[in-house]
Amino acid sequence: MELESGFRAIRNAVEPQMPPESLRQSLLREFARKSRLRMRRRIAAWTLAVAAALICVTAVRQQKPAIAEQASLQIALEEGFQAVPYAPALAQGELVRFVRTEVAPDTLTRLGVFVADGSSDSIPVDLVVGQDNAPLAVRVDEEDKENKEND
Amino acid sequence: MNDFSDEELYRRMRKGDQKAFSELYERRAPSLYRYVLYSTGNPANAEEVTHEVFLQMMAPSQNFDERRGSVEAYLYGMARNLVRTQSRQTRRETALGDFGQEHILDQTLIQEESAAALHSAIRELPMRYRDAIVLCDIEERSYEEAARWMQCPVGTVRSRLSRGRALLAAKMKRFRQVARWN
Repeated sequence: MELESGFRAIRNAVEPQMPPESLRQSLLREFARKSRLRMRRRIAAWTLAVAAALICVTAVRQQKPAIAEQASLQIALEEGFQAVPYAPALAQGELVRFVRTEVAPDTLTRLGVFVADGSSDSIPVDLVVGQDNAPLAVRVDEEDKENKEND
Repeated sequence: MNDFSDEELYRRMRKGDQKAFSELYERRAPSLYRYVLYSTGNPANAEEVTHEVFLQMMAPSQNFDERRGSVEAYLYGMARNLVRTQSRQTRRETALGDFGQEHILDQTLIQEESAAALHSAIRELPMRYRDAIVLCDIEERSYEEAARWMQCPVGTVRSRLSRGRALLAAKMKRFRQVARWN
């Protein structure tokens, strides 16, 4: 009974007590500050993510032509071209061109491409050349060669 | 905002909703503040603990898990840990001779001498008994509510309450004897 009245007295003394308004204000300020920080971090994270995505896309785009050109060289070799021995490998992103020209047989021999032709006249060839104009593959166009001989 | 549960307010607050935070504060800060006031008798401690609880709640690493209990119990758990830390610190300071402002409440608000003595006796109780007395006897919460706050079974609350009352009765008996001699 005595404890109960004591509890009541303590309750009556403490119950009207409230945390000071300054505490609420200080916490709200802190919350606003942390929210701003969080927002800035979120923006930074998104910016980084977008930048990383852009770098990836750019890298893939840069890689694609090289892959395409490597593939076109491969296709050329499958289409009857002979690879020029010891020609430098294609650099990443290096473009190749197809060139139709006439070359003396001994020039082809010097390139390491053997042509069974006794004459010393130039013969029509298709060349695959790199960006430095170095020949990478050669195809002797037999039809053009015959036409030239008939002329 | 008034219709939202504490848990919904907490979720909104975590997403940066300041109104939700403010509402949660309005709802829970007064009872937390009073709980610390009952436990320590010092308004400065009550302010500090309430401030710290809400600061911890907004910290990025804090993640309240609804499956483990209510937001109220979660806040109370933080307050309880902070009160325990403060009590240890106060004991150390008292041992070093720095008595601080430990009994402000008794000096200013609790006029009745025996009630002040009872409050002093409550503060000296071990934490587990003190919590049961504060929650059930002073704040008049139900056993079930106290059990949720204290994160223990209802039976444990009852036994702690009974033991706490017995300890308080013994202390008050000694107080009366001393008062009679004086």
